[in-house]
Amino acid sequence: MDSGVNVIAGAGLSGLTLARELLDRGFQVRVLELRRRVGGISIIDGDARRILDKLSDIPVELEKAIVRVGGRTLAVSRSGVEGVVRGITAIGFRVPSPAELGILGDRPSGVFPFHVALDLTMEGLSIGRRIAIYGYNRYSVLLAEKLLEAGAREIYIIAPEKTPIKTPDHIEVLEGRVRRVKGVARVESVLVGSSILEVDTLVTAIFKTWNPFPNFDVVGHAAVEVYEPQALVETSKLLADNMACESNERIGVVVEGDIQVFPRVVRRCLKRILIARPRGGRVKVNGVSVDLSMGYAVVDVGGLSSVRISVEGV
Amino acid sequence: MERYDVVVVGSGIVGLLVAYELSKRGVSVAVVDENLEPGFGVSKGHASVIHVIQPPFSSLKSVLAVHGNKLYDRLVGELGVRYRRLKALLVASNAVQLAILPLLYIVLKLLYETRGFKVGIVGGRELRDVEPNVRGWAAIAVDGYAIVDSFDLIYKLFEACRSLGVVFHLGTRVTGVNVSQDCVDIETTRGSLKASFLVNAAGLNSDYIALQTGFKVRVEGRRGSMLVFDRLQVRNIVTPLVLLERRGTKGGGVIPTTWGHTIWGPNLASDISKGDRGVYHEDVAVLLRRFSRIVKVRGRIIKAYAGLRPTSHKGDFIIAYSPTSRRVVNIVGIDSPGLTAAPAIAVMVLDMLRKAGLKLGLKRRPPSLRYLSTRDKLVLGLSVQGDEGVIVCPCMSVSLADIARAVRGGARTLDGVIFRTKLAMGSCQGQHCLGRALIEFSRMTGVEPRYVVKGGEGSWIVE
Repeated sequence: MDSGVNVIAGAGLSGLTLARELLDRGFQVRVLELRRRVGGISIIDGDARRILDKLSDIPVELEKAIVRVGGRTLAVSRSGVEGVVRGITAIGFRVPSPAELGILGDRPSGVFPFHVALDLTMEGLSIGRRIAIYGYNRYSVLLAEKLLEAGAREIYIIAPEKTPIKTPDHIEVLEGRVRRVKGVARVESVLVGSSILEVDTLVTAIFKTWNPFPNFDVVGHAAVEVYEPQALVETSKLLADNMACESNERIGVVVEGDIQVFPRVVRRCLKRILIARPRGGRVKVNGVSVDLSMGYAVVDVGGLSSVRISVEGV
Repeated sequence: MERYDVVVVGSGIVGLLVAYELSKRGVSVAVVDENLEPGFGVSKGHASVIHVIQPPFSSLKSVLAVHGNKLYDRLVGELGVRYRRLKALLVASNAVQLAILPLLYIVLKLLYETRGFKVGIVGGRELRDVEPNVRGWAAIAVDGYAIVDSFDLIYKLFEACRSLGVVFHLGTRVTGVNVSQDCVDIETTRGSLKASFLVNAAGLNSDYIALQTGFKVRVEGRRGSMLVFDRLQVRNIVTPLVLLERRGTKGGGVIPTTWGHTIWGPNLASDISKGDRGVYHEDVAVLLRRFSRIVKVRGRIIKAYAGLRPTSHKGDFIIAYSPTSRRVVNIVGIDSPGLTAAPAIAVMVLDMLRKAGLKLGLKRRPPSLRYLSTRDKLVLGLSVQGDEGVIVCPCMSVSLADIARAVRGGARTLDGVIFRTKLAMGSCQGQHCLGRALIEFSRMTGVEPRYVVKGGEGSWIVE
């Protein structure tokens, strides 16, 4: 593959907005998508879809996967294999496995990672009747709505910790951690804290960032844990600006506490950075207080040589 | 009524190997298993290690393990199964362990080398070279271990058996056995079978089948839990050097897999149950405590699962004719190291059948089952095209063509596809592939998605 082309892995909201931003700045871009559709998990997000609708002119190569094999990164599709030199990971969140989330017990059918639940529902299939969704965030609520539309009878969202988000009244939110799954053939119940919840389906909707391609840059959900579609668009703009910056000088960023900063490497001509903290609260950026009640904020760093960020009130 | 020379009950590694060796010698064989696919019983929970010997050394299981170990190279070569020889390293990581290391070395050398397995000492610097990710001062190395892709072995055996003419009755439970002078009648949930000989390789149910033929034995399931990590932590099997283990414990180890992951375990649960394959927080805590000390960088836990060892009331393997008739050979209590011993068990059972009057023909050459998966091709730097290039599971590079091959190979459930292809076994555990896999499996088999099951009966995926 031409080394002057930036390969974007993933045609979700971040991948497509990044493609637009890079094209606007004169970069060459190819967008590769594993699935047969674009949009990623934003497909069920009304706000995100309004942005996606404006990006339908960006060419996407569907059913083209990026894989790591034997230390090499390859783009693989029906038409063959290409080596990839420069790329950007835009493959979205990783859903930790039940074992990683501390969910043990039996291993029956009916435990789905978020994306599988979404993919099957989008195919018009019903994944269960009484469904527990583990994780309380924008996407778990959107999926709950979608599943109710698709005919699920009972939906419970299980919040591992207190999260300040609004939920429609018809969806029940329980607090606690899922500890065990019980069921021989199909899920019969899950243990939440010390109480048993009788469901036939468990969807895991806890999200982490990840980048399986070591030499790739990274954008969107793969890079930072944010839930607002606008925040994803911001990561694309910031990364495009960062890539367009010719100077190799960097702004030193020092972070204290559970704060995520995007991009990871901030070039000197970048005027703004994104700060994220899913739990919300306030942070101090070089002494100035910034509100993160939306889970993120974009702050001005123009002209600074170093930035210090810390959680306020700690 | 169908009549066979031999009916084998059970299609785990033991049942399949017996069927395979018999069919190579021209014997007509049927295999009955209550599960929907072969290898869905005890064999589903292997840690995929080929062991060397095991105390007590005079036991049948120890003798068969030593013999089985030596038969493996040929078996996996014949079938083209993924497999690698390696060592087991008993690592000393404190002063006490280091102090007992020389003595233990001498003891192990005596015990193991007389049975053909070399024992050596690995010093601190060499240990760091051989196992850079292991924390330890020195180690005892025992040669002769191996890791095998046990699912690859199971399904290649299954395919080989089918092409040699073995008839499989899956999803079929044996409800009764009647042994008479000149034949054995086997009642099942799907009709009757007649055979000249019956081989009972029914794993956790082998006591029930044995009882049907008047042979009183008892089998318990002893659970061993395992954790799977998303990367290779070690090159060899590594375990802490511990002198006194609880009786019956094998302790387990840090085990590399043939497909690039690492298994911790299996432990041995203190409680006993026939069917509980659940993983408990106590089991996981034991594994973490045991192995965290010796592994530096471990990566992410991607799976916790448990296997059940069918342990006989004697604690040893029981391989015997039924008391009333030599037409029935029982294989009971094949717990660890059953995978290791399986090829030797098959040899022993064939010999018992021959002595009981079964005529064995000349060995036929087994069919070639070698193929390259999409992942194999990409690793080798080869190109892929068409359905081979349509990647369904990016973590493990599993393509549409791989799923189609699994279906041709007899996969009837989604787990059957997963075990054959390694789909969804990578670091994302199916996040990006299981939805599509279900759709494609349904399309290829013509079974509507709502009738596709994950593994066992009733394990529906969508409604």
